Amino acid sequence: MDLLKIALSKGRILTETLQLFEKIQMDFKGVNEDSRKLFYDFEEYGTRMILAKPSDVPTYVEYGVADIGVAGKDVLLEDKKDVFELMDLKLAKCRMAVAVPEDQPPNAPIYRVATKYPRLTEEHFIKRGFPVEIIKLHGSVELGPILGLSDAIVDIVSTGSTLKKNHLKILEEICPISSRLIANQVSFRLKSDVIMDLMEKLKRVL
Amino acid sequence: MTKYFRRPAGVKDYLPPQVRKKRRIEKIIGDILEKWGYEEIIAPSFEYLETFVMSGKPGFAEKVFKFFDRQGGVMALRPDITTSIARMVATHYTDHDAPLRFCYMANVFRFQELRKGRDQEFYQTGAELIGIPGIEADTEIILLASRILKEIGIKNFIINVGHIKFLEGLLDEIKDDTSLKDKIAQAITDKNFVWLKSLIEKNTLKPEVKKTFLALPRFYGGPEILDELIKFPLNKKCREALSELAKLWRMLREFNNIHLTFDPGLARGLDYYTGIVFEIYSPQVGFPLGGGGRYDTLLDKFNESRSATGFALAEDVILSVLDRNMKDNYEPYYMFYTPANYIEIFYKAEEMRRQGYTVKMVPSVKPRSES
Repeated sequence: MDLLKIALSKGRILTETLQLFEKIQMDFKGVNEDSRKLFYDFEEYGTRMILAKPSDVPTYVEYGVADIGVAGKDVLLEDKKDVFELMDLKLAKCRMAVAVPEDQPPNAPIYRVATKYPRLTEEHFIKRGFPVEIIKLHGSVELGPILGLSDAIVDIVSTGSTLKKNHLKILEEICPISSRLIANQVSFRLKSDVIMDLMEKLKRVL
Repeated sequence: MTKYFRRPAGVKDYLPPQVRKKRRIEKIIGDILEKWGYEEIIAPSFEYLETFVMSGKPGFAEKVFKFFDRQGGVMALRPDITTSIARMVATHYTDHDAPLRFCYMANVFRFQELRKGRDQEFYQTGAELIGIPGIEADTEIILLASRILKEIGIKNFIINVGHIKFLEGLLDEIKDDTSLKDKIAQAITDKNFVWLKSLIEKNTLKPEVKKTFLALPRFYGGPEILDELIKFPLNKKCREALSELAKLWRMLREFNNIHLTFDPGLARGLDYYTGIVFEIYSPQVGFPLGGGGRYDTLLDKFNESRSATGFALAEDVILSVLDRNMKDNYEPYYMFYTPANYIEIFYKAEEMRRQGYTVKMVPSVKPRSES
């Protein structure tokens, strides 16, 4: 039997994802990002687990090299890959938000925004009706306003402690973010029995 | 420093071994299409943008390559062939009442975002059957597509069938709120079940309508799902769509080796298709091999009311599946000549060519004397 190939995001969310699978009696023992191994076969469950960088998960799924995957909504919104979004797994819950320096007066104009999510940011500000200049950064976006690179940032916020430490406050929440179960369009059809079965099981424990 | 010649993203160089494979497949396909009475048509590479916009696919204008002619008219490289065929029918076949069967093998152009690994120029092989409104036409198109795939050696493919009227019927239930209707249609097209669920749950809809929408992702499978679906409290439009799908099933089950699945949520461009639609999948590749369906109103837009159905196969996807098992058996003969015997060798080569061999003439090189 052909294995169901599941792409999982490495990092913070991996433990949570594995715990969720444990709840449905799928114990993916040994899946660990500290080991150099990038994929693991579990014949007993008929699955192959693939570990990937969070932002790459939708790409693997779009091309069908992974049948399904667990990806953050932030990545899905930014990259707009051609994948089916099947379920909200409610993992790694946080918010996409616009943040500005604490001492910024209300209604102060925003000209420049630093973010890891340029596309999503642009769409948001276009909807708000004011064009901004977007500066794409790859990490530590909070530095933007501190160093005077930008007036605001757009990033995911979970507890808000990083913002606080850097003297930033949330100006506006754009949307809630959580992990989603995604599927390749062909796999979703050809392996529908297995995928539907998995979804049913996951639904019961969520 | 070596000079480096750039090539735009999303276009391909086909070198001879690849071209030979491509042409071999095309030859088989072309023979089948001809035997089934589909006549080849060649559409212009570019047309006025308005011609393509008329087909009504949302977001189409953003996906085409545009340029200006000298008078400032906006031209577009063809993003598909079907629209041009509709225009050609309206131009050249207005007095022609008999059914028309056309086919094409052509490259089309669609703008893609960079670095996604998607092609901006790709090859489509398609067939259009114009002027037969009945289920027999849909049957023929599906049988033709599957005959072609079998002949060229694609194994284990499935044909997934849906019906646009079913989705339209469901969407009709959301009468007053057009913005909600658009959003739900978008969620179904994108197959974003999470968004669909939240849209349905947040809004006040009849409980049975809610139930049907929420069950949509689950309804996929053999003909038995049609029997299950008919138990839902559906409106007339939905029921008609389901009965047409059942009719198609009763027709196609008479033919061997057609693996059919049903998917009422299959949305292939809601604005373009009007009836039975289908997509073809293979376990060997993550993208559909092709698809098609009924588009009875496209010709209306060119003032030529005629029913029509057709399909297009994605040649590049098909080639990627077949490539692994195709051998390139190219074995030309080489004949060497010197200035003295060139004419003699030329005649010999001609003789061999007459016998069916591929012959290349090459100057014989004397081993270079060491200096």
